[in-house]
Amino acid sequence: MDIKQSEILEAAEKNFSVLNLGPTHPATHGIFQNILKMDGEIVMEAESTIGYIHRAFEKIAERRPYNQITTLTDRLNYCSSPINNMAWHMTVEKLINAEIPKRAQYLRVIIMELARIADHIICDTVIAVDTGAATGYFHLFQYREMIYEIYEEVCGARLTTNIGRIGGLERDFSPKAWEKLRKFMSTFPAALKEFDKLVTRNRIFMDRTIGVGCVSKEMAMKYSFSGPNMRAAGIDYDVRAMNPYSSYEDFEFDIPVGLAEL
Amino acid sequence: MIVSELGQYIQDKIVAKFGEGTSKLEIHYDFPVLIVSKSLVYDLLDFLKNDESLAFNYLTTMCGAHYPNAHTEMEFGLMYQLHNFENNNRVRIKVFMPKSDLNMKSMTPLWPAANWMEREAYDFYGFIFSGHPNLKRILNMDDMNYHPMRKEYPLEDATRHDKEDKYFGR
Amino acid sequence: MKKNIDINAAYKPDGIEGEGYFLTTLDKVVGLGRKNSLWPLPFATSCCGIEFMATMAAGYDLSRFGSERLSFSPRQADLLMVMGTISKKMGPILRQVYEQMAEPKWVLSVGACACSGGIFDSYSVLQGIDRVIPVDVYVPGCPPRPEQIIEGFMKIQHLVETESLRRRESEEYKKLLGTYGIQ
Repeated sequence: MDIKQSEILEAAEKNFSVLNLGPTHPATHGIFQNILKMDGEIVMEAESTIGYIHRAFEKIAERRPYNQITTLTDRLNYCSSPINNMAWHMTVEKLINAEIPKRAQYLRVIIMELARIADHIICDTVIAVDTGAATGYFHLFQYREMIYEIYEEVCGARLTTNIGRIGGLERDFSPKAWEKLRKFMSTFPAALKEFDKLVTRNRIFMDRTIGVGCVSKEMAMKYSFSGPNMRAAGIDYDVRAMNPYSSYEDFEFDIPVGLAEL
Repeated sequence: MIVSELGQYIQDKIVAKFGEGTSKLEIHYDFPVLIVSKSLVYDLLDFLKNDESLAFNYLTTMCGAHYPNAHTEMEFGLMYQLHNFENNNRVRIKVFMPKSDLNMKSMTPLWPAANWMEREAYDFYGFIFSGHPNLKRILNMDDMNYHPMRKEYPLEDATRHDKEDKYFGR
Repeated sequence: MKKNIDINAAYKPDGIEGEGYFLTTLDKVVGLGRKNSLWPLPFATSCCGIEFMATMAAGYDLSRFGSERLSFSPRQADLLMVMGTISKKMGPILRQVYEQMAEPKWVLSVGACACSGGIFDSYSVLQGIDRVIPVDVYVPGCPPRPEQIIEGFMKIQHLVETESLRRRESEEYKKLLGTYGIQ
């Protein structure tokens, strides 16, 4: 029985097609190359090549003073740059054993959560665009513009923010920033719900995403997944809750964890 | 448990299994750090992963380091960081070796995640991992003939002609 | 207080107009048609790509200028918009994409990294894409605001409108491509 299976597999392998999902591809969002061995539409094997955007951050950081490294950390994950800035500031604060005032910590939490929302706006709209539903992208990006306006009130820049200083923030939030924040908070949940209704229970979207590229818990542990991907695989771990930094322990929040069993 | 207690607990278990003097314990900020010799690393990580009470089954990260001003025996270093989700414990293991002997056993049988991490350490520092399924450069171009993160190589591109050093204060 | 603003509701080139006909030169008509229907190829690699996404979104709509249809295939694109850092590993691929585009083609380099390497003065980053392909308009900024990207786009439109129809066959253009090693 074993021999017959491997013979079948060998015969099937001759029919596999090789596809180069090259470095420039609209759906890869960032550049890496995949050489895929495909059986019809199912990917059997993939060989990835990365490094097309290697910018040598670590080597540049060896030659820059502390506050110039913040601008480098912006560009690590440019969809949510304030979080990277805060991570660098907290590292240096740990090294110099600095104590941050409580108000600055709470303001940092506000900025980091806004950045998280902005990043998830990109991820959600872009998966809809890649599967064909572009409307949600146009609706939700207006809210990303609102978040950019709040960043501009706080630090002056839209995308690569360089927010904060080692030891706190550069200035308190202005009254205009609070006003914009309140406006965002009052209008965003409704817009997100509208996007949800458009996309999540859509027949076509469900057909294209359910059952595609599933990762089990064990695989996520072995391959060192982290963050939302790990939670989607079913492991309930969030650094904000387990190792709270910047006064996250004073806040109550829910953490979504994927439930599907593989 | 607090860091120093955790560190001592792990150290006691290691001494019980591998003998006295095999690992050195240090506490850096909020991490217990174990400094071991190269030959022990694979067995140590295997023990840390599979032991029921320690159960460090998640490899958070690993990376290389180059200390040109240190003693020749301690010039190149490798750092592994492990995590136990159940008890929320973390530990760091450091290994030092001289430039003349950068061979190391690969951790890919324990964690497939180490595959790309070791390729990065090879690409940037020159460590050779035996038992690695596909040890080639990962971020730099394949035909590069030096290991860039070593301190003796410059940061800037050698062929740039429009950035005069004298205008930039170098 | 009314200001005397000269608004052109519909742009038309110079020409002789009459009842039922409009007489002008061919290159003006071709320029008008080309400039208002440029199909860009967004070669977005990093942070400037996110600002490009914001430019294409509803707030700063780039499709007002005629670039409604983004083409990801070089064979069907007019304008190569290079947004983001180009590393040395990516250089040959950028060049291949540029060579696959058909004439007439223009290149817009968005962001400090594409113009000159940006803040990444390192061994792995190409210090400006004009080392591998000829560039028409440079948009500086890190990242440039959507308004700046649109201004760069409008400058390309101006170049497209005023370009001579014979430019791509001229000696000067061939010499320019020759310095890059492109036949």
